[in-house]
Amino acid sequence: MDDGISALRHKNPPAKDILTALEAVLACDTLRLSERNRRFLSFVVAQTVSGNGERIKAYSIGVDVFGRDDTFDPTLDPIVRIEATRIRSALTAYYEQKGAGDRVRIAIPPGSYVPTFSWARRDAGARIKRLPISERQVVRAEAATMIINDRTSRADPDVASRGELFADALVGLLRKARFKVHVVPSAEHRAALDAIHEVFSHPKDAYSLDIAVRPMVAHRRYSWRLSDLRNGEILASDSRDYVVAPAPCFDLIDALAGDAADAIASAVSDR
Amino acid sequence: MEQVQKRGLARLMLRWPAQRAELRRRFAQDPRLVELCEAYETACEAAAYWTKSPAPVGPERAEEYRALITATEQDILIRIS
Repeated sequence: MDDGISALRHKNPPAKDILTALEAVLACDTLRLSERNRRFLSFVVAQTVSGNGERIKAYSIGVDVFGRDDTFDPTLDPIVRIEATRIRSALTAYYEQKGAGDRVRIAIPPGSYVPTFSWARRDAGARIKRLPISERQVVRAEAATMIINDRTSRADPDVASRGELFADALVGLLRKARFKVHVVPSAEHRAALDAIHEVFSHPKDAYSLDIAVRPMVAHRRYSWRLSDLRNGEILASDSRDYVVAPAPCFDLIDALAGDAADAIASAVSDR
Repeated sequence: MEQVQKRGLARLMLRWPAQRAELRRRFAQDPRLVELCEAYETACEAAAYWTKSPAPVGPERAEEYRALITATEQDILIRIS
């Protein structure tokens, strides 16, 4: 298990930001945490922030949070282990939804009661912080053509709009990486379609990027697949499931597009 | 530990026959659901232990774990919904 000192190494968020993050979590009205589990989370965060992470054990939580007496035996009375799992699940749900934009993430890793803290991948303005695509990748991309084919079904307008957002984000990022980008258009845009057919006919240094947003039970699956048009070889692919929110999660879509653009630039530069 | 998780899944599939396919599918994909299945099974076993326990605190503990079973069931239903 991690101890408090290692959980607070210098690259991790400062205590002030961690405590602010804790307040944000606890203030969330949809967070599925009992009052007792809110005390549990507050206790382990406070102990870790104050450098006492090594004191966090099932026994100390049982006594200090759950009011057990000094005969408390976590093997016969596994309340701490069960509630830690429920907190872990609640935190996951929180960061998938309302807390998606939080700067600092609190987690309780499996097998531990000592929380860990990390910076979210976006800053306060929800802009994506990324390492610049390397010069080598840009030079390689300058010669390459990328054809984006959005395969999202148009039957569901909500899913279709998310697919369009995903495509828009990718177009911007791939153009920034100096790809020549085409999006497979609707049939009425004949000129663009003809230009793409021309690329398909002579696929020198051209790639196909198939993307889709697919409805699942309570999630939307965002996926992309990069292939070489010359031989159909799949060069990279990925997918992520996001819980359905009433409105499209722009931050999550932008973050996924950013990761995809990085991976695509890297895959193409390695050719 | 893996056996505890599977026992939890099996218990839930008996509890909610209509959700069997979804539980099985999500169990294969969602680590948080796997952990919740383990927590559920652990709570069920603890409830059974304290129900039989002759300790004075037994009934109180048994009641606490029965409440925890219900709460964990709700967590799981939300997770798979």
